[in-house]
Amino acid sequence: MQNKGFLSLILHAHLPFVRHPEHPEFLEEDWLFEAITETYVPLYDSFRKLADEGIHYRITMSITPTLCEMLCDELLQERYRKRLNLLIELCENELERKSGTVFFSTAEMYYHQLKNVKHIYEEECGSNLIEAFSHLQKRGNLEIITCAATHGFLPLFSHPACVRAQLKMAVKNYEKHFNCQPNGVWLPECGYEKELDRELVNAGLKYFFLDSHGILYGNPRPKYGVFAPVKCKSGAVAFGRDIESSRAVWSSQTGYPGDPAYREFYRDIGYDESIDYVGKYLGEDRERKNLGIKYFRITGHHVELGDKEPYNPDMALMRAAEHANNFIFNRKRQVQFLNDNLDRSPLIVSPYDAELFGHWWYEGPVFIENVLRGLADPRAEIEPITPSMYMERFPEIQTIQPSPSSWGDKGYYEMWLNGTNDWIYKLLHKAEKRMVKIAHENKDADNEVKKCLNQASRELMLAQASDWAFIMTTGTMVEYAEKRTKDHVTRFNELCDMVDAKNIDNKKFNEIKAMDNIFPEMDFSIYL
Amino acid sequence: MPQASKSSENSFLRMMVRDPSWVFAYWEISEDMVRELKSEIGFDKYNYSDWTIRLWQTSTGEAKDVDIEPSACNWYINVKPGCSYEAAIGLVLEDGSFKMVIKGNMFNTPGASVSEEIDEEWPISDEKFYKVMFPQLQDGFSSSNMPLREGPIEWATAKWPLSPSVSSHDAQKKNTSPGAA
Repeated sequence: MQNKGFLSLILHAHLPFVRHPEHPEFLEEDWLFEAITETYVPLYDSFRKLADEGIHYRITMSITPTLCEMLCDELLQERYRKRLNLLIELCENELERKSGTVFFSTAEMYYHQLKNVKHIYEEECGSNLIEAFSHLQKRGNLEIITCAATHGFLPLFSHPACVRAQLKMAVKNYEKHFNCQPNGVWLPECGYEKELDRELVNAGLKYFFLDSHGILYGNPRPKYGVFAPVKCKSGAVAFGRDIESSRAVWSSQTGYPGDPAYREFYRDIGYDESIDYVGKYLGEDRERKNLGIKYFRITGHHVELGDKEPYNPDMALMRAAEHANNFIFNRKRQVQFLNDNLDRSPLIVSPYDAELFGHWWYEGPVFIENVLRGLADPRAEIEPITPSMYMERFPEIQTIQPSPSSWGDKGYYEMWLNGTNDWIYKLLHKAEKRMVKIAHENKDADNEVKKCLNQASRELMLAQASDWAFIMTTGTMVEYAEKRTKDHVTRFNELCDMVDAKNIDNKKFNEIKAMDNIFPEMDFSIYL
Repeated sequence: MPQASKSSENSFLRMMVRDPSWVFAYWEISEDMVRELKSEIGFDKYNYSDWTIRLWQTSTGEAKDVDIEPSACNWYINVKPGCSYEAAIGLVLEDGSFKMVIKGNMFNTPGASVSEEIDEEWPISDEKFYKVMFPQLQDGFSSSNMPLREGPIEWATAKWPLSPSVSSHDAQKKNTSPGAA
């Protein structure tokens, strides 16, 4: 078969580090639990199934260091198992309540899905999804790449040593979890500025991704636009996001996830049912929240939530298969158009947030599985490929200087720098400067000081997570994001003060260490 | 162009590029520095001067002044795409001269347009480049053959947080996190 084009599907899996041992349960930990149930386990299940069936597929996933750490954390694993068991109990009740109604098939679907998730998570994966994904990577169909340590938005850092530290920490963490070196990196939010690629090369990273205009506005003009990677002078290779295939999934106007047959996210029994009935499952405070059991379909864009029609699982699955076919059909047309106009087989790079599939777009994992199956059919005329494989097969790459950019709203840095969040940068930049200075001053210090500075490094990195600035912009959970920023900067300064005063308060240190236990392998010398 | 600078732990000017047309400036000016300044130029002269951020385009030397209120501590400033700038905070004195007080960092704004520079080894014409890379600007090309309905939300901005605390759901209340007291 003569392939006419290539497709690189990229899923960016990320959650900020949310772990609160100081509370018996914590609302924001649900982000991880929901994503495990709705996204990570279903994707793993699909990938493993395809591999077992011998389907030739290729997909790339960035699994961020914060997510790796949470998925391997025993406390969070235990809390997740508890949560899952509660939800299964709720589904058992639902089977009874929905018996004989139009909602019964959906109730059955949830029951079987959650039982299956439990089986995969506990039995197949031993509660450690990272080991499971690592095993899949070794089978050759999946390439896992890394991301900056805590998803810091690197163009807004004030000190190159802090950019370096985020990347070094990421590589070290990747090696710990996956027993090999990462080839590529997902720049948080595709945030790029000139010079950043040099730091990637220094960290041993070979390729990264940019939004379309990061390539299209590069200099000199990129001959193949986003349909072939470009090389920076540093040697790092940049892959550009394809606009067409992105829009098919991301767009609120024309994207697949808005189809009327798909599950409606905003009708959830956590809000629909009486507190007496769902209270037990809402948590100690019995505050309303999503439980993930939803019985309605989107129905129509302008349909009020109260007028939504019952969800039909079979209809939704059929639609997901149709959309997968449509996605491939459109890529074929796109490739044909590109082949008519370019003298090289085009590469289409389609990156998405992994959590879109399953969490927001419930049927998303089925869509992905169908796309991968469809691409394995020689008639698809499009070969699925990972960036590493592409670079090996096509080493001749044009050298350009990419343009500063991000994949956030308006394409630059405004999502992370605006009137809602600009106050954080004075705090962060001050802390960055202090970290670099104190690291140099104490490079030969004793172990007591070193452990404090290792913890200070963790605090700084946690404060730098782009998620907090993003949440402040979106206007939801703002209190939590602000608190996290302030808490980590405060803890950072407390630790640095102890070092400066040569007076380590071990009680305080242990309290902080117990709360923010990310990256046990942290070594503050990465700031030197 | 800036000739001299005074910056210290407590007095600084930091410029952050937001996009091709805007930069964010934040600063601190210590009381000590203001005191020194007053004694250096004289109290009266100080009172008749205006605090200003001055930007210089490095390629042309062209200067742009933005009056600021020093206690505001930050400002968004309109700039030109694809340019390099130097920046400083200072006083515009009564005679119009600029007295630099704190020098900021240099910065470059993104170009935000297709480069005119063609790589000889990798040539592509204007016509082809725009046809292939910006097909939405051309007539007759759309790979979407399937009618799709509009989605409920803009996924690109809705990805976080995973559990939205505010939705259009009538019954939904604002979430409060136990840790966010």
